This record gives sequence, structure tokens and C-alpha cells, in this order.
Amino acid sequence: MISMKPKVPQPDSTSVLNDAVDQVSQVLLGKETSIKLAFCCLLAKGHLLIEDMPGMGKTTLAHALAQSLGIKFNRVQFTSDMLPADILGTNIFDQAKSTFRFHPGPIFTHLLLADEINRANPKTQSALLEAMAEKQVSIEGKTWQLMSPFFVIATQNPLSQIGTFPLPESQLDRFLMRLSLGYPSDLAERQLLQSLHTNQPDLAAVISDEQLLGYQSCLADVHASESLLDYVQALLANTRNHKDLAYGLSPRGAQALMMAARAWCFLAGRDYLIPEDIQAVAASVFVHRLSLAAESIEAAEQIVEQLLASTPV
Amino acid sequence: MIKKVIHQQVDQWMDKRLASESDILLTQQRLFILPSMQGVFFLLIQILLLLIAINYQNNLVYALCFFLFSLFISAIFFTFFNLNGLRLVLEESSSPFAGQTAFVRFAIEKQPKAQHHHILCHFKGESQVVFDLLESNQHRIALPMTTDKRGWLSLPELTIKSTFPLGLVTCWSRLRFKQNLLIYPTPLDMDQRQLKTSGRDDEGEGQQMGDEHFKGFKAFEEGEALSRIYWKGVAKGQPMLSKEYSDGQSKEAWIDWDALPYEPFERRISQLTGLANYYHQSGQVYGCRLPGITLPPSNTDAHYHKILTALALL
Amino acid sequence: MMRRAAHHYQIPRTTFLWLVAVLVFLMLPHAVRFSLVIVPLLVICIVWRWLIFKQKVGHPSFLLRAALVVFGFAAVYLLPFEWVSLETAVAILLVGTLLKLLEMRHMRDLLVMSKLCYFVIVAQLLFDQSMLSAVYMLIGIALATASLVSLNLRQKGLGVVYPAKLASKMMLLSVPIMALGFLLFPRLEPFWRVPLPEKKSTTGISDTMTPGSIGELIQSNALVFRATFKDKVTDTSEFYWRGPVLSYFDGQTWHGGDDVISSVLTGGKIDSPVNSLAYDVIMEASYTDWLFPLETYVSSHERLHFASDYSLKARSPINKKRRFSFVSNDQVLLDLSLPDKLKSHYLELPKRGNPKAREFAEQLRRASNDEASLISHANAFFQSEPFVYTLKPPVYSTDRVDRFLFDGQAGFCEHYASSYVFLMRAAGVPARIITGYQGGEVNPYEGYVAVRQKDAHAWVEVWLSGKGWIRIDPTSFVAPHRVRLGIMEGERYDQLQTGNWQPRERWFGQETLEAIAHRYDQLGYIWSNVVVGFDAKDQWALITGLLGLTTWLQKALWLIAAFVGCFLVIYFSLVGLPRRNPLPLHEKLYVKCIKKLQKQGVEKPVGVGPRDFLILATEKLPDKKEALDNFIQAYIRLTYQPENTHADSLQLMKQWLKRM
Repeated sequence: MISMKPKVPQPDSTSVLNDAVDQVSQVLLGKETSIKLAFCCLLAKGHLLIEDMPGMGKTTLAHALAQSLGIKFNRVQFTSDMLPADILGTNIFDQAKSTFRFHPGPIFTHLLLADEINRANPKTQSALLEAMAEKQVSIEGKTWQLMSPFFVIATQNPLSQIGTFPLPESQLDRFLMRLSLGYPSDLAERQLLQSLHTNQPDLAAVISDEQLLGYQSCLADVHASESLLDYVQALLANTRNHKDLAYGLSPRGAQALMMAARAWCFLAGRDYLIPEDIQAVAASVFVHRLSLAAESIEAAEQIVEQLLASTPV
Repeated sequence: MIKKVIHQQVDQWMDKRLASESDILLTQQRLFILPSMQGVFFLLIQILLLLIAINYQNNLVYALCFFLFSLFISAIFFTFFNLNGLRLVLEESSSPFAGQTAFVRFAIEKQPKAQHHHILCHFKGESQVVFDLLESNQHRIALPMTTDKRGWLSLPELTIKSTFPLGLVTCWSRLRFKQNLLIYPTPLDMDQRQLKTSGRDDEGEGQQMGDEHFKGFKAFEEGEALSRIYWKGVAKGQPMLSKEYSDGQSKEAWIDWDALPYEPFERRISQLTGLANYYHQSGQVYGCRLPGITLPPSNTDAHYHKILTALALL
Repeated sequence: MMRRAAHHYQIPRTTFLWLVAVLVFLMLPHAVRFSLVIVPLLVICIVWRWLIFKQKVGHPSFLLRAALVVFGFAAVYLLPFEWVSLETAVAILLVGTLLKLLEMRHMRDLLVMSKLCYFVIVAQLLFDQSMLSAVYMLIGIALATASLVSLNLRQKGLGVVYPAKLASKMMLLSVPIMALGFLLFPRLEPFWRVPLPEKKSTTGISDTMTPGSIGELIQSNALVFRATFKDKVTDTSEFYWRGPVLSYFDGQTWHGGDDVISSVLTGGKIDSPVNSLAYDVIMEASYTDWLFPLETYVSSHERLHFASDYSLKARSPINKKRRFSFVSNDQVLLDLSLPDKLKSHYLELPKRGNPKAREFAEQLRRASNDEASLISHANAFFQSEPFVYTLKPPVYSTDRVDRFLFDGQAGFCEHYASSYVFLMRAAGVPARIITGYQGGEVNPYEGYVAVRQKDAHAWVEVWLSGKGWIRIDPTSFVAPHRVRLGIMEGERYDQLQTGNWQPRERWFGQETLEAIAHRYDQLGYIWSNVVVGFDAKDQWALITGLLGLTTWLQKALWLIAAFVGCFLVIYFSLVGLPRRNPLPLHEKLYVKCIKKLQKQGVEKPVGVGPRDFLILATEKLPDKKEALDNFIQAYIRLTYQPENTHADSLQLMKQWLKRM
């Protein structure tokens, strides 16, 4: 069968995606931008890190996302006594056959919600992050491929909270984006207060996993003009020359920026990138990468804002 | 008289032209260029060569003469571009104590791809720093400057110049900065015992106890307040112990203006500066009481510098 | 303000190497000239310097330096030059420079040294203006400049390549201004007399002819002069370049007859008879005043000494390359009548010696009834006897004419000419020897005739009443090929006849080599004409003729424009040319739009993209929504969309910009 890959995003694909966004927005009120970014991350085959105080809706977002995509979804609540095997899986002795049988862990799914990842010990964190990067798991010399699409939404509490193990700086790069939900707007909060149900409503699956794979492959067809690349390079050069940053964005970071921007563009139903796409995703792509150099997330956010404002379009 | 007026005029004009922010781009507006002594010699040699050429009617000597002149003209351009496009950024410099040599920090940046050789830089009347800017786009220098008095010291006129590549012309710029550098007072070592003890010692101990943290026990000594004895232990037949409280307050050191009432003004400041140094080095927590300023005890660097600043500006 | 050089100034290694290299390089040509002075001093100074550099010895003491100075001056004194002369002055300069090398301790010394280099260069240019010398000195200047750069470098680790590169760049950029100065600087008359370079020891034709003197000349390939003709010349065998006339014989040597020959200054307007040949002769420096016009000289532009024996002299020795314009005519008859005094001069012979020749002359006279038949008898004698033309004749000691004519019968032009004149005079026919050059080589590229020392020749003129002086070349009776082929080929022809000749094949690459030699000679010609010979006349021709500038205003404007041009060349080579590809049109339009909106109170922040700007602008200027929308959408298409969507977006942008 000839795959009917649409050359340009079809109106229906955009509307399907936007339906999904709308649906999630109804669950997580007033957070449309964050939700869109989360979808971008998904489209760009990246992993998402959500960082916020408890109770801000991190888990709700992850859940709603998984539901509306209708893909296999596992949730792992990380604790400090968790071992890598608890996530990756382990070999279990089958007494009937008297052989070892691999019992896959929760990581064998399409969407893994790693709740409070920074509560886990570094060993476990590292096992997960490695699996994320390689899309496969090696246990006792045997390699098991993860499912495709594979997507991790990790949530973490701010690092200042007691009993957390901060993610190693070098591993933060494995996440395409880092989002922070923040407090809802007044209007959204009022709606929230008015609503009666505290439980999350069940959402209908809007997109199938095959559709999702199709959309993902569409991103390559988004046109990036010379002018746009000029702009991106100027922006990158600015991150590298900024006086408050010890080092700028790595080439991998730059690639991540382009992928995220393409996804954003696709979501907007365009087939060509404009600087606004870059600007929309820049903060979420840059912050956790630049914060290595900057003192804090907030400072990094400010710096990104400055960079965007000072790079001429 | 006229000379004086002209001098003033020139000075005013220079002031206008040289007045500098902390971030300066050297361009033709700021750069001056004149033949150096070498260059004047070089030109004299050319006149000599011209005479030889004319008298011997020798075209090749003519050519050599014009070639040297032409080289001189090229040198003007090359030397100019050796400084042109450099950016001087005045950086934050740590304050020295009066009498020490201050090192004023500058970052000197160049355009990518440009190369700058053999640049001399100095403050008026001070020794110079020589540097190149070849590969890296930024170079940091610290220019020495002698200091004598505490307080704000305005930066002297800065000269940056170069004669590269041929030494025939000097290209220079003089920069006058509006920024001042704070000079800390000269520290004087002082005898600890000279200090009048803190006035708070007179106050009753009991008052302080309430808000103090219990720290531990120690063997009871004659003369300690009875209220501190750990009576419960005594009742159990244990030896007499007295409760000890962590009393930061009473061990806190103070830099107290009034502690040295009999010293002359400047000497007092110097001694207090010495004291601050002593406390800071020993990592002690200390506060500061100066006329008009009181700083609560702390032992951070910022605190130390705050005190020295206060002393410098007293 | 300047900090004094530190007392223990250690000359940086690269700088030192540069300076020594420069000095050795510049001294070499002088070392040939003043070997006695330069070579020992150069060796001493460099070796010592090297030892200092290696810290094996200290700087020389005052006594030693004084000794060296004394040695230097003593050596200069011993040089075979006059005390007040250019040579001595240059020798002293060179000695001083070399001793300075030994004395270099401070930065200041280095700087003085680098300036002295230029004088060493000048000294060489005063002695030798050839192209080779100029190129050599150009390299010298490059080295000197590079050493100056190296002196001024702080980063000594940059090696020798970097200063060389920078110096080359500077020199290259300096060429335009130099050319301008060279072409336009007025060529003034000398302010005062200066000692000129003294006569070199090279040989040339002179006004005496001792046995073997021409033979010596013939060995030399040195250029004597070049002649340029209006018409193309192919055959030079009939070119007899007439030089000194020798008429007095003392039995050994032929001399010019100065006491009887009067000379007049001629010049001015050319009084040209029919079929006259006008040509230019560019003499190399010969340090004599002899000129060599073709037979027979008629007139010249310049005022020259023209003797009654028709020999021509310049008014002063030719100490540097000079150009003369001559007119000659071979139809002119000379001296149809000869005063008795002169007649007896041209018949004079030594009282004694060469009895056989005298007897033979007497026989000839008796055998012939007139002078013409006498001459033909004499010619027949040379043709019939087995005379051999050779450059290595046996030595004829006493009675040289007898020995040559009747015993050896081997010799070259001088033997033939002198014995012929002897015979004629003994037979009572006035005769004289003419020395000069015969033939010359035509340069195939430039068309001029180059005459070299090897073309030196001697021939005979006899006087017949009613006919005047007639040229006879006795050598041509014996060795016609000498005249036809030129001396070198002629000699080979001799070998062929005596059986020594080996067939010489044209070896591989000979033609190329010959072509290169011709090209080189041509370059030298152009060099001496265009560069060395560039004078006020040429300058005037350039300015008024080529550029057509007549008024002072025009000249001034041209001069200014030329200088500004030169400056721009240097400036842009340093800054780089302005960006070739400026903004594309749609970007320009967008910038225009931003400026327009700015005037209407809508500022575009730097980091705002076009779409956001559209939103921002429509908010503030809702009435221009349509124009803004269309304009910016078109801009976005042009800037960010694939090219196939552009279509008429540019037109749209232009249209809608007007409505804003």
C-alpha cells in the first residue's frame, strides 16, 4: 500500500490536532499555550519535562494528553526507593519452563508519565533517561526495543523541595522542552472553582497512534527559508555571545529548536516557518539548556526574553 | 596669559572629545594619528634620498624615495586600523586599600577576524600594559593606578596607543572616564585589647537567655548563675552540670566607632579598617556601628565590603 | 612618557635573524665591488654577533671597536679609489653600517640599523641601475620592511612568515602612490655637482690599439649600446659603427692623431641629405666620451664634438646610460681633398722596422700604375695567401707586420687592419685604422640592434684623390664569414677550415634558451628606456600627450583624484569592499514600510517578527488594516515561503506600500 503522506498539512490534520488541543484545554483551563507546546513536543518526537509546584495540573495535563491521543499510557510514580528494574522490567524465573522470562516494565508503552521524576534516586533517573535517548532497553545483555511512538512526560517539583534528587545537568538535554504551567488566570480559576467535579472526566481519543506517526513525518516538509535560518543563526550567535551565559546553545539544542518550531508551525496549519514560530517555542526549548549556565530557571527565562527582543527580525 | 587661555580651550575641547562612557568603541572620532619620532626620521631620510635622486638624476633612487613615502602613507592606514574598531569596556574592579596599587579592569574586545598587535595602554603617569589581540575576541587587562587617599577616586586619563606595524606613526586615543573607583582606607593593625568592650556586657544575662538556643551541658564552675544548673540531673545524683546556651550575641564582635575615642579621625578609620580585615579573615561574625550607619552582624563578603565602603566614605 | 628601553635589552631572535639576513643580502652586491673592506668585516661582525647571540662572548670592548674602525678606514684607504669620490663615501657608509651591527644593543640601535639599510640600497642603485640590480634591491627593501615589522611585533612567536606577509601586503598597497610620485614628481636639474661613480675596469674601445686589445674585447659579451631604427632591420652585416680613428703608429701601438685633428661642436637642426638614416643609440655607461655612429655621421640633435677625422665624441664621459639621436648617410664622400699636412700624417711610419713589408709595398707600387690597382693588388695578396682568421694567433714580437704577413699569416681584425695600413702607407697611399663595432644582433621581439663588446672590430680607410676616404675591411678578404656571421660563428667557421671543427648540433632547449636570452635583453631594453631613462621630456609627453592635460586646473584635479584613488585602494583593501549583495528589494520595501509606520507612531521593536508586527500595527492603525495585511502577507510570502509561491508578491508590496 502506498502511504498517503500528505505533502503539506491537510486542513483536516490541523483541525484534528486542534480538536485535541481544545479537548485538553477543557480539562486544564486557561493553559492553551502550554498544551499546544506539549503537543508540539509530541509531534517533534521529543520528551517533555513539566516542572511546577504540586497541584498545578502537571499530571492532569499528561493524563489528558494520553487520553486524547488514544495511545497506550502508563504512569509511574517515582519514589526514592525505586530501582531501575521497576521501570525497565526484569527477568523472572518461569518455573514451569524453568527459564528466565522477561517481564517488561512500565516503560513499554507509547506514553509514559514519569511523575515526580526528581524523587527517584539518580540511578533510576539515569536508567530512564538513557532509555529515552536510545529508545531501547538493555537488560542482562539483551536488548528490547521500546514502542513507537514513544513519548515521556516527566514532571518534577521545584528542586528546592526537600527530598529531591536534581536531574543531572547533562541529562536535561534529553528533554526537548521544559514547561512550567504556573497559576491559572483569574477567569480560569473562577471556572475551576465553579465546577463541581474534582475527578478528571474521561476524554475521547481524537488521534490514533498511526495518525500521530504520519503527522510526525510531515514535519520534514515544513519549509525553512534562508531568511529564517539567518534569523535562527543570529539568535544562536546571541546565546553564545551573551554576557550572562557561560556558554550558548549547543548544536543539538539548535536542532531541537528547529524541530519544535516546525511542530508549532504544523499545528498552526502553515507549511513554512516564520520567526514567530521560533519565538513561540524558544523559551521552552532554551530554558533548561541555558539554565546550566544561568543561575536559575527564572533568570534563564528572562535571558531568553532578552535574547528574543534583541535579535532583529 | 594667552597661553593659559589656549590651554584651557584645548582642554575643554579635549574634554568634550574624550569624555567617555564605560563602554567605548574606538573610531576615527576618538583616534588621533601623528608621525612618531621614527616617522619624522623616516621622512627626513626621504628628503635626503630625494636630494640624492635629483643630484644623481637617478630614477631608481626617485622610485625608492617615493616608495618609502608611500610606505609611510600605508603605515598611517595600517596603524589606524590596528586600533580602530576596538571596544574598551570598563569592568567592575575590586577596591584597593589606599596606598596600594589599584588595578582597574578593562575588557578589550575586537571584531571577529581583525588582528591587533602591540597595543600600549596606561593611565596618566602610571606604568603601561602591553598586549595583543590576535585569536580571542576579548582580552582583559588590569591597569595599575596608584592610590593615596580613601574615598572616591576619579579615574585618570587613559591613553591607548599603538605604532604597529612600522613604528612610523603613532595612533592614540585618550579617554576620560566619568566613573570613580572607591578606595578603601589604609588598614592599620591594632591591638585587640585597646578596644573598649562592648557596652552590652553591662546588661543582665538573664534577659538574654530567653531567646537563646540550648546548646549543651558543661561542668559547673563556681560563680555561674544558679539558674543555669541542671537541677534535674543533680536530683538524679549526677554531677553538677550547667546548661549552656549558644549566645552569639555576647561573642559577636563589633566594629564600633566609639570604641576608639581618643584616636585622631583618620587613624581611627584606619584602625577600624584593620579590625574589619581581621574579623573577616578569621571568619567571625561581626557588626558595625559608625556615625549614622549601623550594620547588623554578619560574616559575608558583601557585609565586609559594605563596612569598608562605609569607612571609606566617612 | 615613553619608557626607556630596558638596559639589558635582549634583541629578539626573529628580529635579529631578520636584520642579519637583510644586511647580508644588501651587502652582497657591494661585497663584489669593495671586497677588501666588506668581506672581512662582514664575516667578523656576523660571527661575533652570532657568538653574542649564543651568549658565548660579550659585546666588544671599546678598544676592539676602535680597532675595527681603524681597520675599516685603513681598508677603505687602500681601496683603489680617490679620496673624495662616491666610492669612498659608500665604502665608509658600508663600514659604518657593518660596525653598527656589532654595536646593536638597544632598541634604538635596531631602529637606526633598519634606516641605514635604505642607504645601503641607495648606494647600490647609484652604481647599478640595471633591472637585475633593481629587482635584487626590491627584495632587499621587502626584507628591510619585514624586519621593521618584526621589530614592532610584540608576539615574537609569530616567526618570520607573518612579518614577511604583512610587509608584502604593505608594499603591494604602496605601489600606486609610488607610481604616482614617480610619474608626476617634477624632474629637477641637479642642485649641485656630485662625485659620480668612477670608471669601471671594464674594457671598451679606446683611442689606442695595442696588440691583442681588440682580441680581449671580443671575449666579452657586455652590451655597448642598443640602436633603434625607424624601419625594421634584418641584416646588420653592413653596419660599421665608427669609433676612434687611429692614425699614428709607433711600431707597436696605434694612436689617435690628436695633434693634427681639429674638432668642432656640431649639432642643432638636422641638415639631412637624401636617403639619410635616422636612428637612436642608447649607450651603456662606458666612462669614455666616444660615440659610435654608423658610417657616415651627418648630424644629431645634441651638440657633440665632431672631429675632422669624422670621429664623434660626447661632451662629457658617458657615466650612465644615455640616449643619442643620430642621422647617418653612407653616400657622403669624405675629404675629397686632403691638405699636405694631413696627407703626410696619414703616410707617417716608424723610421725603422718591418723591412720585408716595406719592400713588398715597394713591389706593389711598382707593379701598379695607379692607387686603385695598387689597392686591388694588395687585396689580391690577402685573398691568395693562406691567411687564417683566428682569435688565438701566435705571438708576433718584433717586426710584427713582417712576421704576420709572411710567417704566421694567422690573426684577426687588428692584425689585418694594421698590416694593411702599414702596406698602404709604405706604398704611399694615405691610410688609417678605424676602430669600432661591426654588425650587432637584432632582437626579434623589440627590433632594436644590440651591439656588444664581442662585435668590436678594426678596419681601414684609404684616401684616394678625387674619391676621398674609402672603407676597406681586409678581414673580410680572409674571413668573409666574420663579417657575415659575427665573431663567434666566424671563429667556428675557421675551425672548420683548419679541420678542428666538430659538427655542433643544436642541443635540446637551445632555441628556448636563445628566446629567453632575447626576451631578457628586451626586458632590459624596456627597463632602461621606460624606467631608468624616464625624464622630464617623457613626463611632459605623458601628461600633455597621453592624458591630454593642459591647464593647471586639470592637472591639479587629476593629481588630487589620483591620490584619492590611491588612498581608497589602501582603505578598501584593509576594510574590505562594501557588501556586494545589498538587501533584496522586498527587504528594502519592508524597511521603508517600518519607517513610514514609525512616522505614524507605530514603532517596531527589534525582536518582533512580521506577523506579530502586523497584529501590533493593525491594533494601532485599524483604518489601514487592508494595506498592512496585504503588504505584510506578501512580505512573509517572499521572505519565508518557498519560491513558487512568490508570484506577484513584490508588485503587491509596492502597490500597498503607497497606500500606507
